[in-house]
Parts: sequence; structure tokens; C-alpha cells
Amino acid sequence: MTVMTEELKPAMQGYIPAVLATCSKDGEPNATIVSQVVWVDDEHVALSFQFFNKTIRNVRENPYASVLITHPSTLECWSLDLRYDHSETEGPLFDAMDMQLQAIASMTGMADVFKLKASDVYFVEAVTHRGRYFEPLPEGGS
Amino acid sequence: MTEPVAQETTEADETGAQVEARLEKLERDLSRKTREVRIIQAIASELNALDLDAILEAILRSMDEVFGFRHAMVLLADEEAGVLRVAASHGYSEPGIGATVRIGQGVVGVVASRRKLMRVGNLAIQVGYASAVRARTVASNQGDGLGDVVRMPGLPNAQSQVAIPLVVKDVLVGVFSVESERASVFDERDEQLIGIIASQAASAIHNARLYRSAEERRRALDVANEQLRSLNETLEDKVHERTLELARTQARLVQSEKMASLAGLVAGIAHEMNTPLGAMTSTQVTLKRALARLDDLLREESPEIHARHSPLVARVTAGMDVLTYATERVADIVRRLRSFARLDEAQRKIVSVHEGLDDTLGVLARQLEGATIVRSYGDVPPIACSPASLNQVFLNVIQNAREALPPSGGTITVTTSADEQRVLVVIEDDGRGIAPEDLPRVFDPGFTTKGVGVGAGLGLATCYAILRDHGGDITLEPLARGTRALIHLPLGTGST
Repeated sequence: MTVMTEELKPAMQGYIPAVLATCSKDGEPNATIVSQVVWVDDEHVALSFQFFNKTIRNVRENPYASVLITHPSTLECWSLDLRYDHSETEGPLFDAMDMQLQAIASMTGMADVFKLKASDVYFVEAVTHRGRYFEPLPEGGS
Repeated sequence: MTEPVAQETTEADETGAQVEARLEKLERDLSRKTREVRIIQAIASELNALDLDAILEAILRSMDEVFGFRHAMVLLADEEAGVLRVAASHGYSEPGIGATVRIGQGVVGVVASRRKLMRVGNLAIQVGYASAVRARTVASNQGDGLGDVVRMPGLPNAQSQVAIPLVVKDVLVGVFSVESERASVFDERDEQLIGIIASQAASAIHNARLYRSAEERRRALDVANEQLRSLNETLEDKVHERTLELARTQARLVQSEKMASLAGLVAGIAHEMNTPLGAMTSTQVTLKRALARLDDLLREESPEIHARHSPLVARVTAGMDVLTYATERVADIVRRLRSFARLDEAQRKIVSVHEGLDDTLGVLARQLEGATIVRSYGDVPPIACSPASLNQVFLNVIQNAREALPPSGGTITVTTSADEQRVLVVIEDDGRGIAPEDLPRVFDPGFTTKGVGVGAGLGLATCYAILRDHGGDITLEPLARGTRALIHLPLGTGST
């Protein structure tokens, strides 16, 4: 059984955006930035579905995806092999994500733009430590 | 470079050391839970109050001191206005008391509208992303229809926030919010703790608000009752005043009718008496001349007889003088009666106050016998008035003064003076005076101290009404011995 460890949680705080890669049924890849990967439990993560874009289309055709997350302090990276499981349009997970989105959107005048259609839940099939792609700034640097 | 970090564990794989570590952790958890329960109990006892401000202060203080939540605030709901209002805050450089947040806006606003807890660990980052998207949207000329950016009360760069709705019996009381500038500082345990405190706080705040509301309603009711009582008193005063006014008008009408009847009677008597008085006066003159002629003839023709009967002539002459004096007295009385009643004069005219006083004193001469009358007249110009009515005022006041004196003795002093605006007539006696408890009622129609069947109680009421018609007034002052009546009359034409 694959489980995600607590050390991954800071990488899901949204400090550093994640990179999500999907692929169409025809094998055409697509990569995009997502602001936050939501920890659901130690086997699942969720992504917000706000717009019917290429990512959503791909995932609905081909459930496999990969997301790269980065620890904000150490800049350690992990890739999560994901399999789209289901979408939630109600319930605690959807409410939590929807409320957060509405709170942020209403503060920034974007309430009519940011609307959560669903919480897409993915099963985490594998977690791979990728090391650092960037070196942290030296102490006192900017 | 790659290495798996996923773990696959079972309880059977645990070593003795791992079991020991787990037990230690469980003990720590138990100890912490016990401490938290005690703290929650202590806070609950502090919330058992009805003073809203004290409750809010207790909640925020304990959040900081006990749990280390340095920045916290309580916002109370005004659902009618659709806003939350900061009622208390702790740990902020600007308390922001009174600041409002629209329900549905921001973290606390959404928590209020959904009535569900929210825990955010990266608020400033998310806001930063959203702001960047907004800026890009605006830059690409697609910003039409975007809402306003809203500044929320609290930390400007809060990363972590837990906001909990305060709900009692499906009624939103407010929102409790805890913030930190550090990311993801609140975990599920904090969430549970804050939830427990918030739940108790909601009831305490709800009760305190109900109590405050009841107190405000009670105070408002007290004010309304006081206003009602005052209005009732005013109404009673007005009804009383109006009743007095009607009674005075009635008294004046009755008195006027009486005066009209008296005037008619006086006119009849005066007219009837004037004819015989004229005959008596002229006959006396004739008789006096005839007696003088007879006396001359007797002296010329028979000095002896004249000398013998001269005492008789002298007695007749003296008798004639008495008759002349008496006739003149009767004529004077008739003249005063006519003058007092002003039967042959217009309703209003310019008259001397002194003349009215003298006429009145003349008419009352018989009643005033035994009393000393002191006149102290000042330099008073004639005034415009209804002379008959004014004489009636003087008559009533002087009669009252006389009745206050013993049958023989006592003094009535009549003083007059004037300034640029009015004439003052003071009629003062040194009689038995007025009882203090009677003073407020002496001008009430029907009030009398003279006993049943003696006085009708209309005299001073009539005076009051007449003087008010003249634009003047009358007041009574009790003296150490006696009473002073002050009658004010305006110079000029008076009010009617």
C-alpha cells in the first residue's frame, strides 16, 4: 500500500506552484501550473476543477497524470503519479475547497471568475523523490 | 536520484522500541488532552456571565494566554444589514472595533454565510495568486465586471487563519477568528480546541446579547413610560386648566348677567329717584327763599312778633339745612350708583383708575363703616378699559378685604402706581388672611371660604377673567397679617 508521508505536506501548502502533466488519449502531453494540490488523505490528493480546460479534458479521457510538488524551505521535489478517481460537487472536501476559493475570490474582486465546478480526487499510485531542481538562496540572500 | 519514500507498514512489524515510543506518545497525548479539558472548563466558567464585553475579553485573553493564539477577534453578526462587525479583538496594532465585513466576503464572511468552519494555511499566497490573475486580466483589458479588492480587518499578511461560525439554535451570532502570519500553523487539534471554545462562547455571547437587548428594551420602555406619564400629567393639567377656563367664563357670564340686572335696577331706581330729588331740591330752595321773605316781613311789620317767633324760624331754617344736606347726599349716592354702573357710558373708554376706586369705595361706604380706609394714590395715567368691569373687580376685592376684617377696626390700604408699561393697584388688608392650602384655589370658580349659602365662590374667578380680558392679571400674597391683592393693568388699550 502506498502512502504519502507527513514530510510532503509543506510541499502542498501552495508556496511554490505545482506542475501538473496530463496526456490526451492520443498521446499528446500537456503541462500546466496549479496553485495548490490539496491533501485529502495519505492516499489521495485533490485538484480544483474551475474551467473546462485541456487538463480536465485530458484527465477525463486518460486518468493518469503526474504532479511535481516542491518543499518551500528545502526546495526538495517530489513527483506523484496520479490516477483520476472521481469528482466531488458536494461534501466536506468540496465545501472546504469551495469556501476557500470563494473567500480568496471575494477579497480580490474575482468572485465572478473563480468558481469551483468540482473537486477532482486522484489516487496516489506512487511518490518519487526528485531531489532539488533549484538550490536555496544562501542565508541572508535575496 | 530517485528513491521511494512511500511506506508500507503493519503493526506486526513494530519493534519493542517502537511500541514504547507509541506508548510515550499516547501518554503525552493523554496528558495534553487532560490539560486542555481543564483549561476549557476554566474558560467555560469565565463565560458564565451576562456582560458581553467581559465575555469577549475572557475569550480572547484565554486564547492568547492558554493556547498562544496571539491574534484573535470576535465579529458579531448583523444579519439585517448583511454584515459582521468587529466587536472585540486581541493582539492587533489596530483593534478595528466597529469595522464591518459583508457576509459572504473574505474568510470570515464566507464562514458566516456557509456557517461552516474554515482553516486556511496559505492565505496570503492564495491572495497573491488571485491578485496576479486579476492584474493580468485587467492588463489584457478584460477586467470589466470584476469586483472591488476588499481590505479585511485583521493581519494584513495573514497566512494561517481559522474562522468558526458562532451559531445558536440556527441563529448566526457571529464569527470567531484566529490568525497568524506564519503558514499552516493551525492543525486539526487547534481547530477542535477553538471549536469547543467557540461553541461555548456562542451560547454565552447569544445570552449576553439577549440580556443586553432586554436591558435596552427595558430602558426604552422606562423612557416611554416616563414620557407617557409626563404626557398624562400635561394632559391632566390641560384638562384642568381648560375646565377652570370654562368655569371662569361661565362665572363671568353669570356675573355679567347679575351686573346687567343690577345695572337695570340701579338705572330704574336712579331714574325714579332723580325726579322727586329734583322736586325736593327745588322745593327746598323755594321754601328757604319763602322762609327768608317771611322772616323779613315779620321783622318789618311787627318786630315784637318777629322777636317772639324768631327761635321757631331759626329751627325751621336749621331743619331746612338738614333737608338740603340729606337731599344732596341722596343725589350724590344716585350719582355714584350711576357712575359705578357706568350705565350711560360706552363699553370701553379712557378712564381714571382712581375715579373707579373712589366710586367703588363710595358704593361700599356703608359696608366699610368701622374700617380705616387709607388711599395712597400715585401718579397714574388714565387707562383704556371697560369701566363697569373694572369697578366690579375693585368691588369684589375690596369686599373680600372688608370681610377679612373684624366688624369694627382693621385697615384697608389702597395703593396705586404705574411704570411705562402697566398700572399696579394694590389692595391690602390686615385681616385674618388666607390659609396657605387655599391659596392655589382662590381663583377657581366655586371656591369659597365663606361657608355654604354665604359666598358663591365667583368673585375672584370673575376678577381673574375680567383682568385677563384686559391683558392684566391678579395675584394674592399672604402677609404675616392679612392679604395683599396685586392688580396689574396694561397701559394703552388692553387686549380686548
